Amino acid sequence: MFDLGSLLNLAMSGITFGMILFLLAAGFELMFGVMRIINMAHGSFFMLGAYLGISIARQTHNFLFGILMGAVSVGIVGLVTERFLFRRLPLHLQQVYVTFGIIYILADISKWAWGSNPYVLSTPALLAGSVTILAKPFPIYRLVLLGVGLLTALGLWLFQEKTRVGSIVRAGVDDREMVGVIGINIKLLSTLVFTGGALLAGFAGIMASPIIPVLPGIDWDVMTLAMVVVVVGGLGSLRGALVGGLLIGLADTFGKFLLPQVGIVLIFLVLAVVLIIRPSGIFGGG
Amino acid sequence: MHALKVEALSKSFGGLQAVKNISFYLDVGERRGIIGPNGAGKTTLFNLVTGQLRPDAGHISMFDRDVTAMPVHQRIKMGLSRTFQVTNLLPNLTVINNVILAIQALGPTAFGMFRPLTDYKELYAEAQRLMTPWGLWETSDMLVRNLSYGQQRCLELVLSIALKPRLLLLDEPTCGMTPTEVASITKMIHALGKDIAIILIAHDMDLIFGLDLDSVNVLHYGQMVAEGSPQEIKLNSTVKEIYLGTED
Amino acid sequence: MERIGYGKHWPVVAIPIVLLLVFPQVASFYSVILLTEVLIYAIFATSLNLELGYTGLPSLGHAAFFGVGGYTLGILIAKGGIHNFWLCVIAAVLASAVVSSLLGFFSIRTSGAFFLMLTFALAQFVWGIAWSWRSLTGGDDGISGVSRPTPGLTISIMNEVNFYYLVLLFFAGTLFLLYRICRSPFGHVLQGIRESETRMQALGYDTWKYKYVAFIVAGTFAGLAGALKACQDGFVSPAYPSVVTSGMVLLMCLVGGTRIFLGPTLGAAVVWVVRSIVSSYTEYWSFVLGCILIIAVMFAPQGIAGYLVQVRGLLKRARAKS
Repeated sequence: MFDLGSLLNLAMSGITFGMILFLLAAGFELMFGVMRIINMAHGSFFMLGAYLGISIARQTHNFLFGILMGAVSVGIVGLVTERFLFRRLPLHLQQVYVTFGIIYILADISKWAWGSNPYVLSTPALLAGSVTILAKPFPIYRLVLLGVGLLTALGLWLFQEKTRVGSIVRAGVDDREMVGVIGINIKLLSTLVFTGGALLAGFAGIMASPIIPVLPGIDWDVMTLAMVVVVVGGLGSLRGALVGGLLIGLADTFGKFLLPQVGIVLIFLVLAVVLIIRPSGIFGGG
Repeated sequence: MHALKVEALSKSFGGLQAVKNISFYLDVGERRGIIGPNGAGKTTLFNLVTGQLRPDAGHISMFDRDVTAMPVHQRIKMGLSRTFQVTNLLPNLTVINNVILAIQALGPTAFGMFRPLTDYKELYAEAQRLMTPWGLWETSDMLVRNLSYGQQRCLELVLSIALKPRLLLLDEPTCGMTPTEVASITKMIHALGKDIAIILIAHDMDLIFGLDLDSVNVLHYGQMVAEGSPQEIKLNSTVKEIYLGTED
Repeated sequence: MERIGYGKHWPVVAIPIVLLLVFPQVASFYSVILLTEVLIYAIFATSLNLELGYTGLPSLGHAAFFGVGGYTLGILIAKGGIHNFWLCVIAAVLASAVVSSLLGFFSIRTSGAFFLMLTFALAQFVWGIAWSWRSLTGGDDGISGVSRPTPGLTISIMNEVNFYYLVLLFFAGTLFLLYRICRSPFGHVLQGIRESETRMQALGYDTWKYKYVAFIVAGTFAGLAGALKACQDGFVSPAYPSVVTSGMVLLMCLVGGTRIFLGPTLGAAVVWVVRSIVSSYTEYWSFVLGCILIIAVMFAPQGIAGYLVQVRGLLKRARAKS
């Protein structure tokens, strides 16, 4: 049970799960960092991305198109929400409550459109098999997830560090008022950030769907995970999203394996420990 | 005993040194003004003295007790009180409730959980006493956010006085007020008991001289560049240089 | 804060009380059960509002204490065989007080967004324990067979009407106590903290202490509501401390109005009744609730109660003019 191969296998599973969590938390961190909004509907966006992506992939028999549309369509939902609902509301707290209402709305729309049975995205034959690492089988798709996660992390990092828009976003995270004062269109920035964050959530959902079946109730479960990752990693930090995601992903995977009775509780123990040692999260601003 | 003693106080924010190695002391009952151009560090100094900010270096003591590590509310219990430059009231509560909360803060009723606030008649009597001279009693039941700016600044001062402080920090009390309102506030400050030590941040030079202060400190880029009586400061060449071109 | 005081406002208090007393004699069996549920949720929501509306602490984990209350009572009755109603309720209330002291100690250091997420995460911790600790809580099956022991005077509360009156008693008692607390100096300090914590500290208030006590009081009454719900349902499950329940009670406060003492009670009534009516026609009652919330936030940010108070104010002014 404790040979190297199994351990590595577990670790890889934990890391790929961590990658999904990273994709999820990254969008959330962006929204909070720049707009100071807790997007309660983030788990719902994840779920919607999975449902829509799977449906489109099945209709068009095109895996990649399904993934693209899963992400893009949720991005559009985010855009509409920000443009038509948020703009009218002056207080952050009110915007948070709106996202709360969206949870309930999307939950029922999903139930009406897709029913209660779990949906799984079927991967094309190329990705469906497994490779053998240290005499243990490891699904190729999980490796793909790992790669995609790392690429996205790299992409986001490059975006923040190297592009003009990215540096504006980073400045917005650091000092919202200053950004407005310098004359940058804060409204446009908010729309961009919320749309992008929603897109990332939808992307996480559809990418995860071959291994995490989507069904009613997953919106709340995913929202929980996102919040735990963000609290552990630190509010407003993309690095926190990555490190927090990996930490929680590994904790969850190893926890369920080593102590199956305690399973779910383990990630909350990690949360508690982090909070006691460093209340603002690992990379949090304090 | 000194009302306030500040030693080698320093505070920086990232790369910006807001307060640099400031030392001074205040006798009991002394009235001092602090002036300086925008960004000189005056409000930061206040925030350090009240405890809203922790210093990077240096010591603060009030009435011969070291308060450098003490939380804000405990310093208030020792007799400190302040007004804020950006009006900091309780906007969605009534004017009378704002005042009552100030009056009862250091008293025995503050944690009472079962009798309604309106039962404590003595608090209302004290509130009336404090508010009437400034025309605020008539506005008792208005929400603070519906008051005019001048009335709010006035209320800000009333709250700080309600605490019966021994050391009062006033951060630009007449900021943005009309001349009539300024005269009103000046009268209010004049009327304060002679045993209350006061530090006043002001931009308005007329206010500084009109108040007959004992001493004035001048801050520039976080450092104390001059200290003396109002007359001395008025004639000080460094001070003139700093304010050259600034028409207040 | 709107004060529905005694004196000239007594019809506001007296008429609903009479209606509530008379209700079971004229209403259907199902309606009595419905109203009992509404009263229990009203206790739950009003307790949350002590944190949310009065102190400005948006908790998304209030169901944790609802769950602790429910499970404590359920375990004592169904597993411990203790058939003393009052003992079990008191134990449930005490357990919630203890747990809220513990969770509050960690949560109260934070505020705003961070507080929201921390209370959420800590409540999920409680949920996780309820889900995993099969030997104690029955895991995802929950605890069934929670009977309703006699509260004394040989009045059986297995009878729904009798149970309703008992719950009504708790409801009246809770609202009375919480109302006293809200109108007290302590309650006003909480509001001050909501408006400007820095201002309150600059007045000499140890704001941490006030927030902590408010959190514990709120959690304790939530535990009472949970115990009563367990009695009504006859079982307890991990749904009690779940985030869905925390969300529901938050929804009730927001829809009813957080700045008015009776707002959460109104919200509990509206949300629960809408849910019941809509779910008899369609399973998609969540959609309706979500729309109600968004409409409330966008057009009536002070909730339905706040809106009604505004209308009343306008009518008064119109009458005064003519």
